[in-house]
Amino acid sequence: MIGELRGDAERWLLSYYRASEIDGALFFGRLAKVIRDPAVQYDLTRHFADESQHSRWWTDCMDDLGIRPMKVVSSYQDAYLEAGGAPANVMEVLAVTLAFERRVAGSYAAHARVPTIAPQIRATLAKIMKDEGWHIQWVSRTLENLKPSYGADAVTAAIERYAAADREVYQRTLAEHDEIVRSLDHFKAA
Amino acid sequence: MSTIDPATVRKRIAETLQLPLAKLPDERLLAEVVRESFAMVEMVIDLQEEFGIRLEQAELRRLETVADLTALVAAKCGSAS
Repeated sequence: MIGELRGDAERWLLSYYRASEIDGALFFGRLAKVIRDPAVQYDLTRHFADESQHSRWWTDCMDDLGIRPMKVVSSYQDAYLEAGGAPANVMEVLAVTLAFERRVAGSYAAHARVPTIAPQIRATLAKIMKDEGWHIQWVSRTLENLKPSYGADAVTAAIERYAAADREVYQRTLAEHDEIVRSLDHFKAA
Repeated sequence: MSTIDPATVRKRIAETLQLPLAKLPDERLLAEVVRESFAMVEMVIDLQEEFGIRLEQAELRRLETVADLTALVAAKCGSAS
């Protein structure tokens, strides 16, 4: 029974990761087509490609584990936009991205700390977390660079607004992720 | 920056959303035209990049119809010229 529960939880979790990376790729792909600032366009295109690659890695990982991806209805993007308001300009797009990337990095790190996860999952988390570090770095750097144009106060306010939205969405939605990670730890330690 | 008329803005919206112009009458609600949040963000960013303007969240919240959006963008272009 415990093994069955763990299997379902892991299948849901890995499917959720895969779907989230696909959603991220679709979002950044749309923006990479329309943003013209060469520096932002360059990094955003790489970010889009990373998210797409991550979805492939999760698919590969699941295949290797003999798990088929399940359909995951994830509405966290909409929840973010509802809580913090839809980003109205490039600076706000980056501010919401920063909040979300920080949350993703934290969630992956929490999963990686589970001592008994399958080697395939650990390897995939490690590969992806390297990219997540760069995502946070380039978005933070670009927001800093945008301060003269948008105003430092406006940039800081947008970052704080989406950080608050992140906390709200996390409490409502993404906390489920942590509960499942904790359950994996509990089941495997039992 | 040159003055832009609302019809030019509407044409750009149609191109971005890959919709025929006939689907974008003035009175049509934006919520009906753009049902998906990613598409809305893409459209709003594209308009700013295309016309060299900047939009704010408070301005977007007040928009209801296609005409509201085209008028806002046209006005921003005019005020920046």
